Amino acid sequence: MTGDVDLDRLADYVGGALDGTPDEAAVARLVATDPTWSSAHAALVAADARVRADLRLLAAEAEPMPDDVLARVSAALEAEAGPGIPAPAGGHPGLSVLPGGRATRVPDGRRRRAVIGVAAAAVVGLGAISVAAQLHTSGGRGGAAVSSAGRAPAQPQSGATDLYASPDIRTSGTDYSPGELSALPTAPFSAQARQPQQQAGPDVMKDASSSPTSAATGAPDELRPLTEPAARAACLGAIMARYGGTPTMLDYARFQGRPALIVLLDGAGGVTGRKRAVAVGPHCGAGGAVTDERYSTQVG
Amino acid sequence: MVGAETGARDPRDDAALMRAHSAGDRQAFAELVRRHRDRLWAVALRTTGDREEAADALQDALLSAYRTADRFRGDSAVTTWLHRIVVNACLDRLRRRQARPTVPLPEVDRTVAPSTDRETALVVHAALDQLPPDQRAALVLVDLQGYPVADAARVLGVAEGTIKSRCARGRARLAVLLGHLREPDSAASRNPIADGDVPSRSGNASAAGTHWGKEGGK
Repeated sequence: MTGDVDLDRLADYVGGALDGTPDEAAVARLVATDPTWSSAHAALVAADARVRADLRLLAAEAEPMPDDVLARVSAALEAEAGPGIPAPAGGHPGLSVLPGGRATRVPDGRRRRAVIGVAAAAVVGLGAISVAAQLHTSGGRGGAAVSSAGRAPAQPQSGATDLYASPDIRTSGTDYSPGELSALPTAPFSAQARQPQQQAGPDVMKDASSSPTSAATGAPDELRPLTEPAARAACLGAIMARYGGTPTMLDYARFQGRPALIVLLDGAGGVTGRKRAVAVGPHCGAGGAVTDERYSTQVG
Repeated sequence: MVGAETGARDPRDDAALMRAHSAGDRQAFAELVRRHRDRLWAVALRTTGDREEAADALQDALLSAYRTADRFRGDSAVTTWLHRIVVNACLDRLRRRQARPTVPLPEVDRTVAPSTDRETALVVHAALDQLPPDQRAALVLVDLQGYPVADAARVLGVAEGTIKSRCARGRARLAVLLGHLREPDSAASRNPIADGDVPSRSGNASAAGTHWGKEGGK
């Protein structure tokens, strides 16, 4: 007499999960007496050995934590520890997990100089985005100067109605939690839901010498520096350099009680449609890196 | 339990660092992360199968560990506790991902034998991604990270027999995915190399007359 073999049950037997149970003897009897079970048992034992050998090859591959992940974890833990961390001599923060306690922040003097350089680089990038958006717009949307949110853009003269080139900027006053960031609405804000803020056209992002946008009036005081176009461009450039994608929304708000600029990216990691929310503190962009990241998560 | 990684500059052991952290030593937790970062990363990366998911899960897990360290009672090793938090963060993300519609993963090509160990490792990595999360997590801990079954059971909060079952069933599924075993209940038409002489890395051992159980794991 023969019968179909339940491979999970047979795998349990081969893997020792049935040891000491009544089913162990039952399966052993089937393997000993039923040709189908006997054949399946022999095949599985041989295959199991091959799989273990394959797994050993994978196990032998070193997987050191990449530097960018290490820096990100370090920044998140520093942010969690909050301000007032006693900094050892040399300006190192008190909670860096980088080898040797290396700082993820840079001294203020260096930061100020770095902002200018990064801002220039970011301006180039954002300018390219603007051009791409213009090409996209001229390619088939006709003359309708209405964004996908159904609103007239603040600066239609740019011709850039693409949402990527014109991230929504708001000062919602929201105090975000990690869960709220991961569930951030990814559709453009509706006209009703938007706060009475402006939309930053590409020109605002490009012109590092222009005055702070009206976001400065509603942003938490600690975030005022990031309403300066150059500083904001440096911050966004650093975020885009780390995570890829393009910013579609900026919210000068709070994260877990502390002032934070929330940036929603589209196309993060070079994956079309992948959304990522990043919460950064007022030092974002310093040194050309996301040096003040509070939290980051995929959205949706 | 697997011990601390190299390069520890702080002479205190893990338990002492945990006590110091709870007492307000802000360097203590960072030292713990420094010691175990590569192992924790490897577990996160191999469990999620996605670099970004792994980074997110690890960040969430370490922040959670940082906040809840005072609940650590010392009835398991600190590394077990850290791994438990990391693996659970990974599984949470995998389950959320499963709840979303996804593009089906490409099948492993069983007809072309990988020529190098590196290629084999990549193929195994891809196959691992296709296992149910619970089986994958068990295999990552036991077969990839080298944890004893008892430690893996503590990390995942299940019985040792459950870990054995998840590993055994996971390996059986991998055997099929990697071409070492014929698909249960499959006809030759579903697996063209089953009865043919197309080069295979495995010989595709037969398990004719077999089928999977009703549940994917214990």
